[in-house]
Amino acid sequence: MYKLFDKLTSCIVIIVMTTVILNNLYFYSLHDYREAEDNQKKAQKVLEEFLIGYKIPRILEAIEAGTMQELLERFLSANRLHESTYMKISLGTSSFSSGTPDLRNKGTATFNLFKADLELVIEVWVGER
Amino acid sequence: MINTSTTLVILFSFVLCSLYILSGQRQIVNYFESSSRIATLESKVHELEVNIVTQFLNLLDANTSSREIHQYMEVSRMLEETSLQLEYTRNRMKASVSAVCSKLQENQKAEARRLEEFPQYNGTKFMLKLAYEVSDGLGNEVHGEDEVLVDYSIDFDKLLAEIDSMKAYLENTIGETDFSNMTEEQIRNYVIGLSSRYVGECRVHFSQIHLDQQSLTICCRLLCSTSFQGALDSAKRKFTVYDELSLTFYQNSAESPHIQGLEDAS
Repeated sequence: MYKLFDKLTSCIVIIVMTTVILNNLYFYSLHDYREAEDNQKKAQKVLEEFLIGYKIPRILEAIEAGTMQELLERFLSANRLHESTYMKISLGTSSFSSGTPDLRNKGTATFNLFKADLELVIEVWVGER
Repeated sequence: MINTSTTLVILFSFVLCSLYILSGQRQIVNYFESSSRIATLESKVHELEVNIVTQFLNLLDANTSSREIHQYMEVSRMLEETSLQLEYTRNRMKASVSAVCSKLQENQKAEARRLEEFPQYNGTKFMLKLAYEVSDGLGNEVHGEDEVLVDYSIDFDKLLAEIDSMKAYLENTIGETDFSNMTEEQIRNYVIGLSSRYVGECRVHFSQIHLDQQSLTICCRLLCSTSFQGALDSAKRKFTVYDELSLTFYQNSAESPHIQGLEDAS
């Protein structure tokens, strides 16, 4: 009888231990979720600031003139975002990117703009290095 | 035995507590996920608005840049109500928007917001009434209506008003003049001189000033120009509006002079 209880106790201890470990893992992932959600909001804000700061006509013009790379670098360094942000802009065959793509708990924001038969895509990733 | 049972109960309580914590955390995660999806949907609604405004500006740019010189009626038609529609799918996200675009009337209050992604001009203001629908393919969807203001760099009303004003000036001034004692050459010089005395940005090109025994006919083209910047690029262009005017005065008639625009005559 005692042996049976001992076995049961051991089983329950194992279950509890497993649950506690799982719980901790979940807690960490919850932390990651919170971080990712915060970063998504930050990414959205960065995207808004970029669009409002430079305006759509100027962005299209910079892509056509091939000066978008310079504009992106200037925007990221002026807002001190180089370490935590990655931005990629593409229109047709032209593509420009700047910042750090290797980010943890990254939040992303994407903007698609259709102009005639071309699609402008602006991607912003925000996270921790 | 008691000790073992107590341990069991305590351990069972631990298990239950852990399960509660897990389910609570799952709910928090669900909340994060759904708030993130809603934030994405809201940003897509804004994206749709920017897209439909871009489409409208692209249409205006195409109309104004197609030629340097545009007829008065053609410009009036540019300001008429237009409908636009846009639909696209990206990943699982489906977005559609329809818009009724019209010029903002002077008596209309500009309470709608401007989209800050586009520059502001002192030209013509348009109002876009939007109906949008966005779904993320995961059961979340947003639909609604909105109004946004759009600026275009050409002040169309000012150009049309300049031409109207010149037309009224010529009609009134020539209509009130007694030409009976003037030679054809004097009339010609007088009429041409009138346009240079007009204070405004409108120019007149006379194509015909004809005098016979009964009537005086004056045909001319009224032109008004401005330079402007395209809404979606910074290229400087010239935009000219013109209208043809034909005035006929029956000198021996007791009736008032008959004045007619070319569109009416045709």
